[in-house]
Amino acid sequence: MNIHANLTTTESGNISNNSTVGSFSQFVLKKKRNKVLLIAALVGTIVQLIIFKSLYPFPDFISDSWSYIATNVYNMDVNLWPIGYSKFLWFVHLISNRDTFLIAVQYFLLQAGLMYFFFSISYLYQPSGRTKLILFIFLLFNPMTLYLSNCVLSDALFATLTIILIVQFLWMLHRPNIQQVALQGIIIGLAFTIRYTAIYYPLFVLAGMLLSRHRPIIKISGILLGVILIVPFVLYTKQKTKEVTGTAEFSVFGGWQIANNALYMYNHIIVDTNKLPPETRALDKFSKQFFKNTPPKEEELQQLPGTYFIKVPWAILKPYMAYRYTYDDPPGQFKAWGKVSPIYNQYGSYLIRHFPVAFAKYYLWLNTKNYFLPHLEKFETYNLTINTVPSHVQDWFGYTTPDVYAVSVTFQGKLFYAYPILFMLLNIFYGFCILSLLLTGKFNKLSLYFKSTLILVSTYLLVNFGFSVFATPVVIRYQIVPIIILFTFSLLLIDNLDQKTKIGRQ
Amino acid sequence: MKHFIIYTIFALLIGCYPKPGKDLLTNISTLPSFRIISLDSSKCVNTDDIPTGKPILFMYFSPDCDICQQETEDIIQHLDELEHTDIYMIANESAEASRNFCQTFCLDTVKNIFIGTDYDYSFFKVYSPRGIPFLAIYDSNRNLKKIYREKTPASFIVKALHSHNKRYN
Repeated sequence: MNIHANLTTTESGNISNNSTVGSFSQFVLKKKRNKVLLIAALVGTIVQLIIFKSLYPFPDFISDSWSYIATNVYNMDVNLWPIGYSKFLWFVHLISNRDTFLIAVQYFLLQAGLMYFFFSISYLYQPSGRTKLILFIFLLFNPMTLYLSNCVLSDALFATLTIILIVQFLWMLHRPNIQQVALQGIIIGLAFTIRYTAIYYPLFVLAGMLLSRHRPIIKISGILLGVILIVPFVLYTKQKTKEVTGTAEFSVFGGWQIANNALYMYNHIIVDTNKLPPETRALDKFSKQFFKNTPPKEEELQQLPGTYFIKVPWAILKPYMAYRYTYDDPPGQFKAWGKVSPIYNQYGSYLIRHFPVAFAKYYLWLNTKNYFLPHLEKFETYNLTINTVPSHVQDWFGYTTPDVYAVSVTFQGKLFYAYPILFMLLNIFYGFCILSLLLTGKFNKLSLYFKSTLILVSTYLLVNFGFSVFATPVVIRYQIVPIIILFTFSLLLIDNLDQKTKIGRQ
Repeated sequence: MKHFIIYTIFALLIGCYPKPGKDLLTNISTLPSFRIISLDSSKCVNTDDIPTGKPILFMYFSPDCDICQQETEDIIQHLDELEHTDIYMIANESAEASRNFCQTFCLDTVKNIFIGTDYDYSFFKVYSPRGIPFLAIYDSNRNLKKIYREKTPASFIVKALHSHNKRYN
């Protein structure tokens, strides 16, 4: 990293280090080395996709994928997952119903986002040649990008949007302009229609806007814009859910998740059924019966990290729903899930409120461990190791038969075996670097812009950690952007330390 | 450029690994030959003798299977849209069970439905159905339109019969 960029810049002159390289477009397109990297990235993207698709001719599906497609096939206005990704599938389907086309679109978008990220980092922080090369290979020749894009899941699109969002704020710290403010608001609005995870992004935006050099009125507008764009979607979803289930819930899945989280401690607490809210007492009888007759073993709980009571067909929540409601198609399924969701929400919330210590011990701690060693989940096997897809998925992609196949259903599990460990090591390394910078007082010696960047990035990572531990199952596909951020800024920190050491020696 | 050529050759080579399911699709892409016998054994249908001109739906089922019963009900509700389609319902169980099934759903009164037995397992050998209900749909020129390996809404079957899309797997 250019030492002048990080250690000696003044509070107002951060971009002086870029004056020698001109504008961003000139930096990417005119500088010979960058031009070569850009061409290598473009050719590499195409070649990687060709090779990958010859090994995995079909996309990878899980039940969520079926649900996203069913939203379109059955013309549903709401479903278990936000409908933004279903709308994206519908739009791509208008152009072509070929599965390879969809996967290519997802992959090219993600690679384009990563190229934008890579060149922005190179321009704004001027890493050393070695760091730049490592980063280039990690970002643009990473098999995880291919496997992620090959899934009919919102993750690749969501990751693309998140990367572009983060880049906006990196730019905002250096060269603030009004377009970045508008774009970040639009991205927040879009991201929220794709994954509810984006609900914590306004906190990141708050940090980013406060750190930026915009005028206060722009900062406030920037903070509010994303929230304002989220609100109509929340109201729309609640209204449509009410029309189907009778309850104006924003996330039907939320009720299931809360009950699921609370049930992790159930075997360690004593619940008096008579003190529960009346609507939840029948459900509690299911819980008591389940833990009396078939209490899950520790290893069984670990196999489905943070989702045991949602996924296992005999584990309380699904049997209770089946006892109350039946269905035989996706709209019916959504209705049944939605009908029980308020009860699950009430039940889970009650248990968590009344047994917070047990909840922290048996769920939050478990999920914290899961966070640092996230499960491979979808990345472990291809298509859940089954070799067909449901008929509505078959029709959506115009397959004659429902049969799908790949070069191997288990190879990916071996390929990504080390990724959870890498994620843990990156977290430890990054955390250690930040702490040591703070404790030794060296943090204050960094340039204002690098300090701001580290505060911004650390805020993103901390909020993501909090959300992951409290609100969602932790699996590696949800942590792709944090991996990228940790890897990139760990490298920049190493670069920084290297430069300091060299200066010290001199 | 040299690297690009090497990558391309590599891609072509690894693209040659055996693809399961391809053989099956090749064998059934036009209506294959198999035989079905009627429940009273009075008539044997050889698919080679089925005249062209009408789309064909084969449904492999078991009379005792709940899901097959639901599928049959759904098909019956869409008979108006399937009136120009010859429907062959094929079971591998006793003729008695199939007869009861036939009576339950009043199938003997529907002129474009033929219920029979895969008496020599020729259907099973050709399609290797891994589960039931199993549906095979051919157009009026005996070209395969769809294979469904699970309970499928009859509206999908109707759509498949009327679609002109080409296959992608």
